[in-house]
Amino acid sequence: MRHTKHYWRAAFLVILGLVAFFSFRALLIPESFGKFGYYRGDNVEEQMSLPVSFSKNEACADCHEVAAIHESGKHKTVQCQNCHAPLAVHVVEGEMVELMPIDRSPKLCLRCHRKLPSRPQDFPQIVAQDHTGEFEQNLKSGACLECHQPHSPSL
Amino acid sequence: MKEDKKTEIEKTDNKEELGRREFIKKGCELAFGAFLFLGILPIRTSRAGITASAEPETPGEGYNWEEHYYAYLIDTRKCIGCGMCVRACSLENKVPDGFYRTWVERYEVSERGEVYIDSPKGGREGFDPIFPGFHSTKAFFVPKMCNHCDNTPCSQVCPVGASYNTKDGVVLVDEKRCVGCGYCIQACPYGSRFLNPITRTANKCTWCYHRITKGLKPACVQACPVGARKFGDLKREDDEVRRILATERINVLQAEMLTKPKCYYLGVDREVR
Repeated sequence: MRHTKHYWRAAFLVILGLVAFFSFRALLIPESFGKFGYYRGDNVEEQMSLPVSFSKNEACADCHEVAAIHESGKHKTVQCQNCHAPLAVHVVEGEMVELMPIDRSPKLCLRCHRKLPSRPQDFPQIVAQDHTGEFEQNLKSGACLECHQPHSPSL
Repeated sequence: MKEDKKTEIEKTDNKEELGRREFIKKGCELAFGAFLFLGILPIRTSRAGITASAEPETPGEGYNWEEHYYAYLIDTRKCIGCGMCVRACSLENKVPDGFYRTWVERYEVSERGEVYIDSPKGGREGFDPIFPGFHSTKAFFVPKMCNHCDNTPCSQVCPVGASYNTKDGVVLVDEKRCVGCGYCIQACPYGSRFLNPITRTANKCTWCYHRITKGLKPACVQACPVGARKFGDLKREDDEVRRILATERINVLQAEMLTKPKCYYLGVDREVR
């Protein structure tokens, strides 16, 4: 028992080291870490509370009469917000903040209806040159809309 | 004689080194240290889930993640390659330009097995006609995204616990926790992760977790005009995706990776990986 003093010192240092280690570790680990698993539990709620931009078509029908025509037409499966913009651009908390953009370019129509071999063959599609006599890039804005009603096309 | 002498020395040593005052002082220090140590320890065990905690079992209000288990179905035979899904995803999730949480690939395949694959801007602006340099006899579009695997390589390699699987079957990334090491991006066999250049953290599809927990469909599913993308809840009796998985011939991408993806495909060709 001659070296008791040294044992005590060593033990004291070891304990001090452990305390320092665990205190430091506790500071680094976020509060909710491990609540549900090996991750920060609070993040799940953070992810859930992100803002929603795209709404349903019904929201458009609240103000716009054209939504009723759209709903019964051939384009009923196309979301209003696909061709326009997310509702969050137009309405925030029931108040209009900005006008919805209206894209009249043939490029928008041709996104779906340009003839491509990769599309299902029974899907209605055109080659712009055969259909209009003009090259696609020469078509003016609104060219498709001269004959076709975009909300409920019957042609 | 020698022995006796030694014990005598030790006795005197002890008396000198550890008097009562000294003993109490050291004892107090030790007790204080032990108290600190034990004070921290129980927090750790409860955090690690060893002890039962009184914490709520589900995060958020009005939503119980134990009641849902999501799956995604992509019917490549229906896809027209309009790219509305990619656009909707980018706008809904504010995905930085040039990066895609979901994208659409175009395949053109010849009789001799030549394959042309492209995905201009992830398909976000739609597709123009191409001339692959061979006579393609079959062509199709394949929408791709995070497969939300059950056996996730990406969250397994995360060194800080930033990527994880929720109880309702979604793989998420914690932006505050992520250190941007990019390990998960390399681990994903589907290439569905990227490093967000603004936040410098890993980013990926969340199946629009903020929408599905409110009962809405993911933005891409809602935007699809032909029903090529379907989102379902396998814990619901009358679910369409559940019915299709049970009755039709479905496939997953890179099944040999054993990642157990939850994005199921109808009509994928062998060229698709």
